[in-house]
Amino acid sequence: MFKHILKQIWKNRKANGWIFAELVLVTAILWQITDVTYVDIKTYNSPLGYDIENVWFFLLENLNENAPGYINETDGAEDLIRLREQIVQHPMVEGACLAFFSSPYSFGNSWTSLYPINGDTVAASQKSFQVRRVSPEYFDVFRIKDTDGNPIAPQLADSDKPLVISQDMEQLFFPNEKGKGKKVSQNRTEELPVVAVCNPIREDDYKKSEPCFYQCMKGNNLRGYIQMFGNTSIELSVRMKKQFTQEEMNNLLSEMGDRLTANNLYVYSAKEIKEQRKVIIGWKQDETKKQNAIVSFVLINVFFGIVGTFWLRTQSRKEEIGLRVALGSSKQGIRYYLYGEGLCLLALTIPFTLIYIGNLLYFDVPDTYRVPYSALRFLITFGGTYLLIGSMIILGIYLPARKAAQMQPAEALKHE
Amino acid sequence: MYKQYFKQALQSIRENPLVSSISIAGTAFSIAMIMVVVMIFQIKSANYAPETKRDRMLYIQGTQVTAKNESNRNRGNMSSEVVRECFYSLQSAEAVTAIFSMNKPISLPGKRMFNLYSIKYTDAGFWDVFDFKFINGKPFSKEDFSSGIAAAVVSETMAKEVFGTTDVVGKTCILDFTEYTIRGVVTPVSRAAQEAFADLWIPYTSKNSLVSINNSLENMAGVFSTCILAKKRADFEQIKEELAKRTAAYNAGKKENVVDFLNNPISKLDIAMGSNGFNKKPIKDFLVQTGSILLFLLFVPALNLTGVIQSSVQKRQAEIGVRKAFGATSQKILSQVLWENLILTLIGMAIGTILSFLFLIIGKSFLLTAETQLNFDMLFKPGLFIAALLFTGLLNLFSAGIPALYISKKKITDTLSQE
Repeated sequence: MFKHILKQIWKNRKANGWIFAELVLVTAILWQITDVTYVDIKTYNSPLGYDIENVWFFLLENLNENAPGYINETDGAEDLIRLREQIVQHPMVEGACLAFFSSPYSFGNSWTSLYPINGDTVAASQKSFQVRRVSPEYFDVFRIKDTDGNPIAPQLADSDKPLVISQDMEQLFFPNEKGKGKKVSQNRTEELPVVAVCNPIREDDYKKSEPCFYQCMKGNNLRGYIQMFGNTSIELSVRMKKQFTQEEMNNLLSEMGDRLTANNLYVYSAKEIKEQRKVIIGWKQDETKKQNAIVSFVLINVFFGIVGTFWLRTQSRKEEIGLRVALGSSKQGIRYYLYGEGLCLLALTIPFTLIYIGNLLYFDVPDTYRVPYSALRFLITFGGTYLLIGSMIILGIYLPARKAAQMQPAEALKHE
Repeated sequence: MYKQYFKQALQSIRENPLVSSISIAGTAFSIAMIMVVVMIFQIKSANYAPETKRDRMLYIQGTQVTAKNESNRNRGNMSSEVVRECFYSLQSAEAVTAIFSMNKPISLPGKRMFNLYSIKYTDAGFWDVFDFKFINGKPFSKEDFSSGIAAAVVSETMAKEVFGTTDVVGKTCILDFTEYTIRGVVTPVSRAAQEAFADLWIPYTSKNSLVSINNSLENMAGVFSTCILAKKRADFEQIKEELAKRTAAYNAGKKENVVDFLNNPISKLDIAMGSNGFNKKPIKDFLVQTGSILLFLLFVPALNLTGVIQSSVQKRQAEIGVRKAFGATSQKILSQVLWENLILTLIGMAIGTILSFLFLIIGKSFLLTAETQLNFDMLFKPGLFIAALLFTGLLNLFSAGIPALYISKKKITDTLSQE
């Protein structure tokens, strides 16, 4: 039967040629979009390494010089440290931490070089790494655990300038060894202790985890950083004990009153990190929607093309179909025959698609950085593409096939 | 003769309603998608209130301060000093404004509130560059600005939310613990008009930290972006030259750093084509990118339609053979097939145009921004319909061209032999 179908397709090549060219084109494009979507979904669903649920940015400002209550001589760093402590004492607050351009979904970031002492210095010397400058409470507020699942904050106690590195960095710096207890250096003069290794950290939902590290700011070190960057460019992240809406949060803030002021420094409002997340990953989600629009366009066109071609085909082949029915083909048989022809046409595109995929892989076009290429990825994206187009073809043949099957042999053969 | 084609086309629709409606639907989808691409471009560069003079505006979004020995480079925005020295002094511009946006809560005297509103710290020129409709009062004045008076203009929305009324001229609201007197109330504007949108507009001179001298980077880096309104489009080059001159003179007075505006100033047309203040996107790249999307949107349905038309032409080859035998030239046959098909495509275009508005409304949030308010002037432009016609013509040529050529070139004997 298969051979017979092939023969038929070849005989009707003039009409089939166009729909076949279309199928070749759309399978290639659809496969590419499926592959991108696969990588996006896979990345999106892997763990971020932190948790922003119920964490809010408390937004800070200093009093204008001519505002009532302005104090001339104050220590901005002390004010900030005191403000944090006042906020933590509120019964609805679980914890609060300070960070400079280092909170999840913050708009800024800092990068620096870092070298392992007695580790793989070659790997490290080629890159700069994202550094997150944070106060010790950060790991509790964002629920970041070490690779054994233990809390990190208690491990920071014994050092003045403790560093926490991510698992990716551990593997890069100290392959096949434990990172905890090792030393690293930023400028090759001062050695800093690695006190813990945290789970891989991803910058946002669509990015892969990268080697990175946390520099914990304590005591005078913290004061120095606040003086350097200014006390309003800090991110004051506050984890609440329960979920709040913006309105409930506004009410809570007005209830907190004086707690939100320390000399000239005050909290002017609060924004849930989830809201900022929407801004940061919004463009990517818009891209995805545009891709979906293209996919729908392609599928609708496949449907139209198949309906049109096969409708005309069943008309021009009335005699042949009539003959088949007359010779004992069942209605079901006729229908299957037509479906077989459509799917066979699709199957003929497989070599072209494989060549296309091979080419793209050779030139490294698919995203193999975020998700490595694997047999599973090939099966899912390739199978998914053909499943989608195949179902469109079956949908498109349904009408013409029903019509053909309903044909009475006498009527069909009348043409002869 | 054309009447004949029209009759023929109608007849073929009647004869084969399913196939015809599929051709029409295919055309409609393709034209609708293409129109959406064209409309997005159009909207991104269109004039609409309060940015009614977009076509005459130049934007400076991004400033660079570089050390003269090139050891250090800082990218961000400009200080109020740069605004004053390089922009307020521009003679060739009709108006200039400097803007800094921030979200802050607005409170009432004696009642501290935390709900965030969009605040624009700006100058008196703002009201000349943008077209606001005042329902009460008037803008803050040049004098208010130069003496740093805490005066404000508020949006109708914010007035209703905070005061419960729009009759608020002369009343006081509190921002950053400073009392601002309300001078005017304006009708709300679309959030999509990024440069103009706010709930509260105040002179930036009323906030010390925005005008005080900052010793790092010789007081050149800051928070402001600027908009320049030209008297006419043709003045853009002159303004750019004058700005370059002013900037050079300003830089000459500095010891260690120089300021420049990267790819700025840019127009909304540049922005719609994918440029921004930091990077210029060559027009060629834009054309290649948009062109390939449009081609794809044309090509896929064209393949569909070609298949269908090929079949129907083949079915009619006996008729065409007879016409030829009675003296019709190949050219005549060619144009007959193209014209007949054009009628189907034109029906598709009409449906596609309506469909495109529907698509745009449905996909607005991810194609543009959720806040964009679509209006009649923005969408119905002659260019849009010329584009629609052009692409319909192209689609027709792509899809009917090959079958028409095929049948018109076929020998009479071959076409008749099948009978």
